[in-house]
Amino acid sequence: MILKYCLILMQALFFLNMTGCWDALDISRRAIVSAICLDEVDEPGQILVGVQVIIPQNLISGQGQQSQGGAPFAHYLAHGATWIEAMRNIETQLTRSLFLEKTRVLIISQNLAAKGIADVVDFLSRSPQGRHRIRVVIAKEAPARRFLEIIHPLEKDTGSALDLLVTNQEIHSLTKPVSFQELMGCLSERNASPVIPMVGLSTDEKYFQAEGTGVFRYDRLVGWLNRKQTQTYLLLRNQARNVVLTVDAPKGPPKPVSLKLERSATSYQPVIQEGRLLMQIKIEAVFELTEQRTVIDLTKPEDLKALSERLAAQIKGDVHSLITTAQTEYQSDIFHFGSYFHRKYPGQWRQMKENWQEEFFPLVEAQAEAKVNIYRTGLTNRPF
Amino acid sequence: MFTQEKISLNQATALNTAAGIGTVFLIVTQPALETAGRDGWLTIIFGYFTGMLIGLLLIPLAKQFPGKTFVQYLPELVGFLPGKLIALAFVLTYGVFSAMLLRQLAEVMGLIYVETPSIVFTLGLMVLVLYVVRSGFEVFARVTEAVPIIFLSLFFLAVLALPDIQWTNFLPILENGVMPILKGLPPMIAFAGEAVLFMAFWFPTLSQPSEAKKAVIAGFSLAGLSLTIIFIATVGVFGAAQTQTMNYPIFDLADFILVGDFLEEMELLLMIIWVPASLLKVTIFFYPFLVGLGQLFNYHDYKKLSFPLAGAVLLISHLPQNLFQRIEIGHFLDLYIIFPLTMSIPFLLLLSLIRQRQRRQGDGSAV
Repeated sequence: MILKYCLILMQALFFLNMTGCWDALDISRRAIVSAICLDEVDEPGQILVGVQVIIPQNLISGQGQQSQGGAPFAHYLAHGATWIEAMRNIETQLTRSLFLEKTRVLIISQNLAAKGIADVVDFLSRSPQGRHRIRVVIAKEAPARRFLEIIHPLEKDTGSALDLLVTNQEIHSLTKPVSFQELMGCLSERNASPVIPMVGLSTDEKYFQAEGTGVFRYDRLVGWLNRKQTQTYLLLRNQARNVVLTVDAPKGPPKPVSLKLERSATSYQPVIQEGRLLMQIKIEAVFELTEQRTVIDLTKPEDLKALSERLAAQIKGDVHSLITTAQTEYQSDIFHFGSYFHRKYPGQWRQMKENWQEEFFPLVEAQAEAKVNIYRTGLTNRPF
Repeated sequence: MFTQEKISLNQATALNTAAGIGTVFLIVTQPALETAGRDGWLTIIFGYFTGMLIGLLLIPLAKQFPGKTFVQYLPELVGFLPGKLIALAFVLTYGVFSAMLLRQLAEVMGLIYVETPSIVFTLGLMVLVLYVVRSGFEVFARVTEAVPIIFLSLFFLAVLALPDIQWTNFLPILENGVMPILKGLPPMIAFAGEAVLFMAFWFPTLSQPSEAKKAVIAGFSLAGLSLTIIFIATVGVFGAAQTQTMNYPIFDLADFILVGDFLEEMELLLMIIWVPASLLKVTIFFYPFLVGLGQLFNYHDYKKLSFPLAGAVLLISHLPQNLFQRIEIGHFLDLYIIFPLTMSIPFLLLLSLIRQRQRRQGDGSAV
């Protein structure tokens, strides 16, 4: 009987725990980080970490209320041998502890990325704080810490501004946002390399802009795709949306005609023939005519056909030149060709998988085929 | 006395499911990936299917010894000393396992409750386990009827992850033939075997032994299916290579899920099912340890043993120095004790049938 009461008493003790976590830290004791940047420093073996911390008092957005002065965020920099050590060094300047759960963007400088990112992102993959959805961007030709100082007129903090900037590019296929999760997935594969969107500063360093896509070989930045190449790349990866392409009008004076992508489907057929690696790529796309700078009526079926053939030829040319660039200049399989060969020829793949990107990927002969249809011409059919 | 308690068919099914899923859903992807890679889901299915077959073979074996647990009839079957030794190994393994799972609970909780000492979790759960154990096996069987909460939550997690699953992560299927899958089977069969051996222990309490088949088939299918779904969800989202680097893949999956920009932080759901799952699995291992150790020495008032043995388990749970040592101990027990014991059940059945025939012939000649 006494035992029973002891047991009940002991269980009652555990109700004390239910009032809150043992190590609870109130929101007022936390510094909410919206963006993190990783930079190089001159000292060997050190990395520079910068965080942008939101100041909640200055974030008041109600009508008629004046913000109490100052930007709604502050940034802190420190360097250390590892990321976590640098973060601890940052905390020596802080009255609150850093909170990464709501971080939107990780900015990595170009120089650091060129030396390899696999060893610097280790910290984030171990930390139990929310990390899968953090967007990763590469700072092009500028130290990453410069981005933390820029106030975007439309957004409250740089972290969400950069996040939304990159996300906004996806709508027009100018670049594709990459989350930390996707990056880790790509880095853990031997047969493909990641791409990460790049952002750069304007010449007066007042605002930032999307600059295309950085190309990696394994974990090293080796080059970048400009806007046009990025569009072609996304078309190849079946991720293109609203791509705008411009070709010359098929008849009359060579004036530009712009067409917008409605939907597309790219299919791959890997073939191994007498030791040669062939990749047959079939692109089927539907476009809408959005603008023409001629006054010629292009809506006759034969004209539209000629226009779509021109467009198809252009897409085909772009695809071939992009693949050749990736093969010769970067030697990095950003198109995931390796996984197609892996799936169709698991036997032959065994000999290729170790040196796929260096040795075999540049040997792949791509045979692209594009089929374009123009379904609509917007709200009008022909110019006046 | 333990064997006088009676449980229903539904409770038997729930016991099998609970022992099959247990806390395995947290770690099942790792042994499956290790040898079979992206084909690991086949390993899980085959492993649990084998477990189910062995579970079905256990029924005729247990029926020959009505009212006796595995620990009690082993000495009758294989001879006094070997039987007692095997039973002792079985009982002690389950004791150490309950300690390891207690430790695992503390480790996972420690991911979130960074500064809380682990004794809070281990002691807290052990008090709960003691309460359940001392209330009797019928009470525990009723507790396990809450197991649908666990597997429905796991299904829910998998459904939320569905839009992010890349099915190409599972291609090509069977790239290196069936050998890697067969090689990965022992740990899987051991996971299912934990449930089979637990059933060998509680079988005499079943009120309708003739219906036991249903409990085995339903219980093991549900457990195997849940684990397969978990494997498909995690590997589908993260890919085989990345999942292999994770300590707790399902934790990462729960962290990853984001539906419609507002439904996130699913670790919460995982934690809500993690504690009851730990309670079930620790009790599942603690019960045979407690009652079995008593029966081994013909001591039947097991409630009196519960406090000292709980203390021992609590102590053992704090012995491993780190996560990897704990995992290694678990692997060792699974591969070298649970797996051989599970695989021996068909042979024990054969032996018992031979004995039965000999006895009948002996009777016949006497008459």
